[in-house]
Amino acid sequence: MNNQEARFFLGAYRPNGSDAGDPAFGEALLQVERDPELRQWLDRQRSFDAVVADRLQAIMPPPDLKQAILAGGRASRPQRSRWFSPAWLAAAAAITMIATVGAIFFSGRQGSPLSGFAAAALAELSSAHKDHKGAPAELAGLQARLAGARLPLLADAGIDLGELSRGRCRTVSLGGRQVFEICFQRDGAWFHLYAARRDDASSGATVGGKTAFASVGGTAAAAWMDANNVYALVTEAGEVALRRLI
Amino acid sequence: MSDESFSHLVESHYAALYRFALSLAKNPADASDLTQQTFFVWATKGQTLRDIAKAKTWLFTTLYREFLRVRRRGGKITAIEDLPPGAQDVPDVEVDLVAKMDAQLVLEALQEIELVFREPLTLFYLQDLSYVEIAEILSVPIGTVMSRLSRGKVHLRAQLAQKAKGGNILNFPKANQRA
Repeated sequence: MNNQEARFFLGAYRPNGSDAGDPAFGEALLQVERDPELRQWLDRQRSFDAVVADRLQAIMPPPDLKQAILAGGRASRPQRSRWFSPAWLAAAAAITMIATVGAIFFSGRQGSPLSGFAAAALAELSSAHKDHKGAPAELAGLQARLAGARLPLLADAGIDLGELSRGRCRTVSLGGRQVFEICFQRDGAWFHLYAARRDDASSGATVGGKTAFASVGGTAAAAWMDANNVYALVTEAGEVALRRLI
Repeated sequence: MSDESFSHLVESHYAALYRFALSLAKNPADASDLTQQTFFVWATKGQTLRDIAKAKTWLFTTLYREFLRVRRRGGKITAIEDLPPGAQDVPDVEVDLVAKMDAQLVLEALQEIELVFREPLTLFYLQDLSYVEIAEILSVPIGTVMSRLSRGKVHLRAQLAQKAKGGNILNFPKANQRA
């Protein structure tokens, strides 16, 4: 490679060093090492390129452009039920993996929004939940209320999401959506209640309609909704213990 | 794609896309439109992209195609494959002199370069994309990208030299001029 060829290649060599690992520049850079004149040329070239790049980076988009893009994107994306988003499908995939070591069954309307919510809550508990440390003191009253609530629970959950928010309740991301999680003990077993506001996308099931169940091994989940919220209750105490509450 | 992922995608790339659009379109309103249109196309079609690692190249390619589409509609695009070699005796400009220029002046110099050189030069100076990715976005061979970068820099230096002098801008070959 002569100097002219080396210059031709090195004209595409970015001044920030991003191309340092690209073998296509290797021979040209070796030539630079051998030839001081070429080295001087490259130094000048890179200095010039660095200044121009710096000036270009200083051009800022209009301040409202990002918000406009985000708003436009939200309005433009194909609409579909959040409960059937790719993240839900990922959760379902996790369930499928778990199913290789245990039996899985769904009852109720398989494939309904509530089934998806139950499956996702089940996957969350199985894969991410660690312990019950650090629960805010503000939620102690609610935990006690759930521990002693009249059964069946689905008729009396009556969760105020505002209370959970004010009480700094832990939230988890299910299907890209923030869902409150509150844990409580009942009859010596831990139960995990996931709650989120209903939206139009989750209205595939009707209030008071069938409760959706899912279970993997000894872990069981049920999902239902009331006029305002959608819930999933999950326990590792098994399906019998779960059905006793709802 | 969740709202969070979409926001992250926008946050990561919208500024660089805007700068590329501004270099192409030469005015902030059109650049904003092009950038927004690019994410609109993503929102409606881009989510089918299987390899999310290619999102950046996809966005730049889409913006570039949108730019060409709009210009073609206006009848301003003339196909060109290459230009005669740039004059090698154009006035050079010292790095120190450019360092004293503000961003707007450098951008103006860049915008006054013919489109065929401006496209790869801008992508090169954004530093987000390799010459291979630039070739992919512009749909030209790698050698052509290198050639246009080399000659485009000669033109850019000349424009900057003229800006530094405060004089008129040099004219470059008109044959088959594209923008």
